[in-house]
Formats: sequence, C-alpha cells, structure tokens
Amino acid sequence: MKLPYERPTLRKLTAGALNKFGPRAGVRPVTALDGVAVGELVARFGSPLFVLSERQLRRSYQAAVRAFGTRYPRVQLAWSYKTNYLNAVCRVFHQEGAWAEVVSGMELEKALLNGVPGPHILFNGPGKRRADLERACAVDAVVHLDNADELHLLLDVAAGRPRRPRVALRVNLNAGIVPQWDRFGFNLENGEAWQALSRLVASGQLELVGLHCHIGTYILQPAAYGAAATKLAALAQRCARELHTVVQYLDLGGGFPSTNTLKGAYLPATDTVPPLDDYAEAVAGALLGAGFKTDDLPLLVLEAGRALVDEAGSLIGTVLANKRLADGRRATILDFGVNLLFTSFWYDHHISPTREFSADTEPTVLYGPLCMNIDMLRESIALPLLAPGDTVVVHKVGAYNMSQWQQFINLRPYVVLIDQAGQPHVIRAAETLEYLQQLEQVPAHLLG
Amino acid sequence: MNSYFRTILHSYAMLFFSQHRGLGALLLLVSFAHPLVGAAGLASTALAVAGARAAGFNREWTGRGAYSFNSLLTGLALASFYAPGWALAGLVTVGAGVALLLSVALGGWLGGRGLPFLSLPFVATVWLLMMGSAPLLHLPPAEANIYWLNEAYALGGPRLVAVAQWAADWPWPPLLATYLRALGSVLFQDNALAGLLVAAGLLWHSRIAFSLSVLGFLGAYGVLWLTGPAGSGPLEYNLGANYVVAAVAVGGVFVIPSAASYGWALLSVPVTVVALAAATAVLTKLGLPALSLPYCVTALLFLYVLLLRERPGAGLVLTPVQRYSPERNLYAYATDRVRLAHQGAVAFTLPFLGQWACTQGYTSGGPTHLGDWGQALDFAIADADGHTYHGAGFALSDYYAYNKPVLAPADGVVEEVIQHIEDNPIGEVNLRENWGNTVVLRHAPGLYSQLSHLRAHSVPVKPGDYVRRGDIVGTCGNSGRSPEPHLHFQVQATPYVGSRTVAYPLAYFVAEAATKPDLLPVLNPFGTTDNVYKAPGGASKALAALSNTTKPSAAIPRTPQLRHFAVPNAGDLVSPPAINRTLSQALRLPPGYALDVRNADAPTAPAQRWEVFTDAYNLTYLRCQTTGAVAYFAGDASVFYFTAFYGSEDSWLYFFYQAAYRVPLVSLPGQITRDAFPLSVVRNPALAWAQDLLAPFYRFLKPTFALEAVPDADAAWPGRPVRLRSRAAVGYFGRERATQTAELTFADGHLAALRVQRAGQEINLTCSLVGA
Repeated sequence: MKLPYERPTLRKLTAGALNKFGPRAGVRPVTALDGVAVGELVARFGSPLFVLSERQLRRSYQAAVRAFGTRYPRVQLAWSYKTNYLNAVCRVFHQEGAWAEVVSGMELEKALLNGVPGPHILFNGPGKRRADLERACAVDAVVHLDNADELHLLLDVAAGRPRRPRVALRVNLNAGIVPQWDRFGFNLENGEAWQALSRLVASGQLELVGLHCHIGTYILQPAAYGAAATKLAALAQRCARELHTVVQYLDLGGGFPSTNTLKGAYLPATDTVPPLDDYAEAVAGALLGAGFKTDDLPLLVLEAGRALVDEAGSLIGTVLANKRLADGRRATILDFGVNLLFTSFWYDHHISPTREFSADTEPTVLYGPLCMNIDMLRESIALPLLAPGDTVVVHKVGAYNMSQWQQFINLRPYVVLIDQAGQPHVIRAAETLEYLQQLEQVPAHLLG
Repeated sequence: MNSYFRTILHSYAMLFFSQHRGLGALLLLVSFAHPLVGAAGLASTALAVAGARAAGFNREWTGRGAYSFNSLLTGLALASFYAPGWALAGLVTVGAGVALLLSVALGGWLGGRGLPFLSLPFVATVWLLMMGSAPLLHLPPAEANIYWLNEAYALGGPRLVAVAQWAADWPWPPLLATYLRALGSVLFQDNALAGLLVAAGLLWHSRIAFSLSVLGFLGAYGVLWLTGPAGSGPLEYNLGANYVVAAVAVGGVFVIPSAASYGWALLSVPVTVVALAAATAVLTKLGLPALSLPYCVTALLFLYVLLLRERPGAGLVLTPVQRYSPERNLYAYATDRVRLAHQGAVAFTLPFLGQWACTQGYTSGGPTHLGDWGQALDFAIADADGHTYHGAGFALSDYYAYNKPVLAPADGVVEEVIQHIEDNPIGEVNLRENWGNTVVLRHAPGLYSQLSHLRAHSVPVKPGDYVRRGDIVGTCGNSGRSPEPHLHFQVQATPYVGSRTVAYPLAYFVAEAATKPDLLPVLNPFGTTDNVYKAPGGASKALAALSNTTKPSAAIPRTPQLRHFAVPNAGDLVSPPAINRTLSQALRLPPGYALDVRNADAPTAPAQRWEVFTDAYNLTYLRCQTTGAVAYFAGDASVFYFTAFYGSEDSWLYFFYQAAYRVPLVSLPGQITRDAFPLSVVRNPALAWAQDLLAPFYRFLKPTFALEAVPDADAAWPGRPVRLRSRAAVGYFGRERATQTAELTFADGHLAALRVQRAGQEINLTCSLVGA
C-alpha cells in the first residue's frame, strides 16, 4: 500500500533529559463521534459541522443531579438557555427534568415554546423590559429582580393582577472571588439587598419565593460557593425571622467550569478543574449546616450551563491550506474561525486529527477563514502534519458557541445531534443565502 | 331526644348483634304481637336506656343499646311469664334496673377479657326475680300465651283475629314452621308469622347472619334427628333460638365470617344441644327456665378458646373492631388486613439522599446476605450505564457512593459507633473486621438498625446521642468486607454489631424497578482481588458493553413507583420521595383542626363542619358535626389514607372519604395510586346481596380506588393549588363501573374544593379553614 504523503518538516533539536514518562505526546486521532465516523458525517452534512451527543448531554445532566442530589435532599437544575438554546438541546435537558433559566423576553418565549410551564421558568437578566415583565407575570414565571428600577417597574406591572407575581431577589456578595461580581443584583454587604427585600415584602404585591446569586463564571474555588451558600442561607433565615416570609429556594446560579483549558493556564484543565462533586460538597455542607430544620430546608436551584453542555459538543472542520509565516512558524487555515468558535477567545481548545499520522508534530498557528486579523483559533498547537482536505475535531464546544456564533463572512453550518442509538439528526440546518436575505428589503429606487 | 329513640331501636337490633334500626323497628313491631309483652319490653328498654344515660355509663355502649337489650329481654320474659297487674309492672321496673346493673358489671368484668356478656345479665335477672318474687309477690302465671287470640281481638277486632288465625292455620312445612317459631321465640312469640317477620328483618340486616341462622337450625335439626325423633323436644319453641343465635354469634359476629367460621358455627351446634339438655335437666329441678343460658355458654366457650390460641390462624379470626354487621366486619377485615398491615410499625426510610441502586437484597442469592444474616440490603450509586464509578475506578474517590452522607433511617438513640477502621483500597476486603465502621441505632425496645462499611472517622455522633430521621450519622466508605464503597443496612433485634437480621420493610421509598435486574453489578465481597484489580467492577464493564449495543435507554421507560412498607429488590433504583408540602400540610389534620364545608351551588345554605378528633385508642378521625358521620384516617409523612367510615352514605364526609381514600403526599408525575375499598361501599342491592351471601367463601366484586394528580406545574410550588382526580369503581366479571369520580383541590394549606360526580348528580363543595 502506498503511504500517504506527508510534507517535510524542520525542527530544532531540543531533547532534554530522558524521563520515565516517555515522549508519547503524540496526538491521538478521533475517527468517530458517538460511534458515527467523522468522514461519514462530513460526507452527509458538509464541513464545518457542529455535532452534539445526546448521550453526553444526558450523562452530564445526570452527573450533576447525582453530585448534588446525593448530598442535599432538594435539588433542582434550571437549564441556562443562553449557553445553548437550540431547541433539541433544551428539550433533552427538560426531558431529564430541568427547569429553564432565561435572561430575555426572547429566551422566555423559547422556553415556553419548548413546553416549559411558566412556573418552571426563572427569569434572570439585567435588562428586562416592561413587556417582558408583563409576559412573565402572565405566564407565572419567577422574576429574578436585578435592580431597584426593575423592582419599581414590576410593582407597577403587578398592580391589579389577580395573583401576585413571584419574584426572587438577585444578590451579589463577597464570596472571596476577586474581582467581585457586583453588577448583577443588589449588594448584600452594604445593606442594599436587605433594603430591597423589605421594600418588596412590604409592598404586599409581590410574592418573594427565592434568593439568587451568581458569583462569577468558570469559578475554580468550590469554597466560594460554600461561602455564598452560607450567606444566602443566613439572609433567608433573616427573611423568615424578620419579614415572616419563608424563602422557598436558594439559587446559587451557575459558573461551574468545564474541563476546557483557559488561555494562559499552565496545566490542562482536566488536571486542575475541581470535579463538580467538590462544589456540591461545599454547597450541601453549607446549607445543611446553616441551621434549617430538616423539613424546612429550602430548595437548592442551580443554573448550570457550561458544565452540562460543553463536553457534549464537537466541531468538525477541514484544513483549507498550509502556509509558513514570515517568522518561520507553520500556519494552517481551517474552514471555521472565531465566527463559529467564539470560545476560542478564552480557551485553548483541544483539537484532534481524524486519521492516523506519524508521531511527528509541528507547532502550528491555527487560523480561520475570515479576512480579519482577529481570526486566530490557536496561537500555537502541536498538530501532526495536516494536509489540505484533512479534517479535525474541536472538542468541548457545546457551551456558548451555538448561541454566540456570528453570521459573518460565512454562513452558519449544520448542527446535528447524535441520539443514543447512534443516529444523527439535523437539529439546525445550514444557513442559506436566501435565509440570510429574507429579512432584507431593498428600497425601490435601488432596484433595477 | 332523637338519640334516645335511636338507642331504643339499637337495643332491639342488638338482639341480633346489629345496629340496623330497620331491623330494630321490625322487632319492636313484632314484639307487639302480644301487646302487653311488647309494652313491657319497650318500657323496660326505655327505663334501662334512660338509666344508663343518667348514670353516665360508657356513652358509646349506651348509645348502641349494649346496656339495655338485656333489660328488653327481661321485660319481654317477665310479661310472658306473669299476668298483668301492678305487681308485674313493679317487677319489670326492678328487672330493667337489675339487668342494666348486671350488664354494666359483667361488661366491665368480661370486657376486660375481650369477651362479650351476651344475654347473661338477662338470664341472671330473670332467675333472680323468679326466685325472689315467688315468696314475696305470689304472681299468677300469664294466661295470655294461651289465650292470646283474646288479646288480638281486643286490639284489632275480628279482622286481626282472622289474619292471625289464617297465619296460624297456613300449612307451613313443619321444618320451616319450626325454624320460624324458633326465631320468633327470641321475642317470646310462639308464632310463625312473627318468626317470618324476624327472619325477613334478619335477612334485611345481614345475609351472612341469616345464612348462619339457617345453618345453626339445620345443624340442630340434624343432630336431634340422629339422636331421636326430630321435631320434638328441645327444638320446640323458644329453646330452638339457642342454636340459631349461637351459630350467628360464633360464625359471623365475633369471628370474621369465612368457610372456617361456618364450620366453627356448625361445630357449636352439638355443644349447644348438650348444654341445653343439661341445663334443662338441672334447672327444671329448681323450677327455672334455661332461657338463653346454653347459647351464652357455648358462645363464650367457643370465643374464649379462640382468644387463648398462641398462633391465631388465618381461618378463624376474632373480629378486631366490632362493626355490628357480619358483612361490614368481613369486608373491613379483608381490606384492612392488607391496607393496615403495618400500622404501628416503626417507619424506616432510606438511609441516604438521592437515587441509589440496591445491589443486594434480602436473600437474593447474593454473595453475602445468607442464612440468619440474609435480611439485609446493600446500596451503591450507579450511573445510567450501570457503573458505580467514573474515571478509572482505581481510587475510592472515583466511586459515586464514596463519602456520600449516610442518614439515620428513623428516630432513635445511637447504641454503638465503630469508626476507626481504615477504608480498604479498591478490590481488597477486610475479613477480620467484617462490618467495618458501623453505627447501630436503637429505635424501639428490641428494634435496632445497623449501617456498615462507613468511611473511617466520618461518624459525627456518639453512643447515647439522640438522632432524628434524616440526621447524618456518617458517610459511605469502604471499610470491612467491602471491595468497593457501598452501604450495608440491616434491621436487627439485638444491639450488637453483626447481629442476625430481622426482615423489616421500609415505610416508603420511590423505586424504579430494574428493567434488567441481573445486569447491575453485585459487589463481590469475597474479594477475588486479581479479578477486581484488572477490571474494577468487572460486572459493570459487561453491563456497559451491553447497554452500548442496546437501543437508546430512553426507549425503555422506567416509571418510578412510590412503594409503601416494601423491601427493595436487588437491581432497583431507589430514592427518597419528594414530599409535596401543600398536600402534606393540608392532610396533616391535627386534632382540633376543623373545616367548614359549603355547597358551592347553594352558598347561603348552612355549612357543615368537619372536625378532627382523637379517640380513646389514639386513632384520629374526622367527624361531621351536622350528620354525625365519622371517618377514621391514618398515614405517615408520605401518605394519607382513610381507614374506616361510619355514618350516612349520603353525607358529604362520605364523598370525601371515597374521594381521598388514599392520597400520596408525594410529587410523582404520572403516578396512579390504587387501592381497594371494603365491599361495603357497593350500593347496587342485587349485586351486594348476592355478594354478601357468597362473601365468606368467595368475593367476586372488586371495589377499587384510583387517584392521579392533575398535571400542573404549579404543584411543585408550595402555596400553589394542587389538584387531584380520583375514581371509585366496582369491578365484577371483568367489567368495571365507576361509582364516583371526584376532583380535589388543595390550596392555602387545606382542602379548598371538592367536586364529586356520583349517581348522575354533581356536587360542588368548597371548604374553608375554621379559625383562619
């Protein structure tokens, strides 16, 4: 058999002292996703192509429920819509039992269309409009109040309604995370939150059901969640004691990391990111030790997004060209860029080839197809000697990419979901020029 | 006043161990066939009831006529024996009083031994008065019994005489005539027509009692036919009643009717025959009648020996709660035996949070739960693939169960704590300290639970500490004979670590039955280390391989079921239920809690008040203050259910009893709760009577109850209304007919509305909390 051609490479010899861990740093190819060959997927749906694994979506969800549910008696996950609001993805989570956490009127409607009952929708977000609040009240969603102006607007909306709208107060607090996220909700330490709670309860027009805080994103310190839980629990107990209002749930938000490596991290995330169990241990320990009676423990709500979906998503792309830069580095141009892989601004994504190569690798700069200087996917990655037409798989791209992607220069590709039987389903068709232009209108004087 | 007259009717019905006021009224009527005798009986009863009420004897027994029916018999007997006059009136008054006093006294004495006093006070009173009055009063014997047509003429003129003569001359078959006269003689009537009315009344009251009366009579007839010329001697007239009543008492009233009880009743007949002959022989010399003494002796003998059995058999069951109807006794027993089997048991719950898999059940053929130690449960956490770990499975922390909180399964006191044993590496077992780190809790005298294989130094409690259900008593570990982290739970009768086990069910848990029970990994505590080392959880690998090849697991629906007083099976996925706070608050029903119930379609009509009380046995019941209906209920943290209903079946409380017969206080979407009503709820008379006759032997009617939650996202929120739909139906021969459908709405911590559809009518009730 004729061996495939590989381009020659020149490298400076930098052999260090030998060690027992060996040099097997070779890149392992990924030939199939959930049992479906990458080549077959590309042949059917083209490249680039987003692939989601239903199996992994469910496994991740179940793992989160297991981590918290075996440590605390009352746990509810609310799927963070903004992380990935493709309907198929949302519905997988809702089937598993997730509520919906939405941050805009559009997401609220999406959740309703996905069959989520109003009372199971938590309406977060700092920018709710009057119409959004009216809609939320009409469908009986829970409004998470972000600021005093919103509180007054909601009081105005609530007036004259047959049932009091249910609300939770968003609280920001010092959980030991620097910088402290103080832009969402009312500050706890300076008394703003308590003032808002008093105002809210005194109004008699709103039903306080929960307290919410979101201490940040990609938080690597489980203890911070324990601190936040302790402070929220104390606030809830003060509500019961001084305002005679029983807080039914404590929402600790999201921000749990996935195992994607942050840019600039020294070690890979798989080695440094604490398991979800550590977070669960911290939160459950804090709540169980907070002094609630066993029968009065509040419901623990979590708005995990990234931790549930990131691992289930993969992006298949194709090498368009190789070139050498002026400084001698090798550069590879792929058919997807930051337009599809928004998270490459934060992560050093793990990227695998899809066929066997020799063990030789070369540090490579990965560029996307955009005619923009920012379109760089990896500054330097050791990849085998890819040739034009070779495909690669980017792993753990399920979070944010399919909601923050841009229709810029190129159209957005197919998204397929591989079900648990290994059957791919298109869950979002590739965009067409017609789709892109269907909202456009050309004034008459420009026609003809 | 009403209750006074009711009590008088109850006294009459009590002659046949009944509270059937129709039967009571009929017997009252029949007793007036001899107007004078009837009047004496009625007067005597009235006096006794008034006396019992005035004296403040047990209100329940007084109200049922239990203290006054002996006075009734005394009055009837005295008036039958002596001629009318002031002397007789005085004698009846004294007799009523003496019978009442003896009833109360004997009730206190025999009642404490679990025995009824039957008509012993009557026998004693009549003897006392006969012997005592002879030297004092010189009463002439009554002639009315002989010249009773004169009386009939005086009362009803020639027409009544004609009817009476026609009835007397009617060519009754001799066997039937004897039977009817025997029944009539209970009321001191020697008259087939009276007997016929009594027989009809008895049939109206109870088909089982009626069939037993026939059985007793035919049995006696058979015995006497074997011993000599039938139709003569003791079978005649009033003494024939002894066989009949003894058979009814022994076969259907004090014993739950069954084929065995019918046999027991038949066995009583020859004893009654002998007792009667003996009593007659002895008493004739004293100039006293045997009256109902033989029946009392036989019945007490046959009941007392049953009471003294060491192993009460399944066939002959003494009536646990007397409902004054053989049918009701039987039907209540048949359902309660299943429904209330675990009343009073210590409620054990799962000793952990979240969903775990039962990896070894009771003597499931598992590797370690064997012999005297067989009634134990092992739990571990498994994922959807059946793995009990993630990653490589070489480290303890890879195992889902490791370091997860272990909870007290019930309230108790910490008896023993062992927590110094180090956790084993994966795949190794510690056979020297078999149980590993262990907590033993004492829940009741002679009832302990043991939790084993805990993580070293993870136990936050110490011996002597009081723990509540759900308190953390340690975390799951891998100490002792445990190759991978799991929890061992057993119930035992002795406080030592490693005591032999006792089978004891869990009060409630949610179970998803394993679709492939043999596929979950059974831990191998024998620690064939090489095997485990090469492939940690070797069985799990096999399972993973299998489930990879199968169709999507979503296609195999596992419906979680709430289970009560059951034991998980190996392979079940079990978790503690999520208690619905709205339901559990609304159906907690503490004593003193009261609801005002109104008809929504007639809002101006007065409300009925349902109030919660506790009886002398610490059982709770709802009582409707308007209708007097009473519905007993019970339950635990996970379920509410009614146990019995007494009163009018047209009362609103009865609708509620049928609508909320069993309500799980748990949110489980799509769950249908089923239960079985006692057969006494069947209202179709033809079906019911046919069933009653066959009931001791075979029950073909199946009254069923089903309840489901109306799907509603609101239900998950405390304070939001919860709506339930229930359906009561009667099934027979494969058909099912709904008798009542209802929709219950719970809001603001109480039952808010009840919509009932039954027999073509719809009733809308709204409830409000009293004092709220």
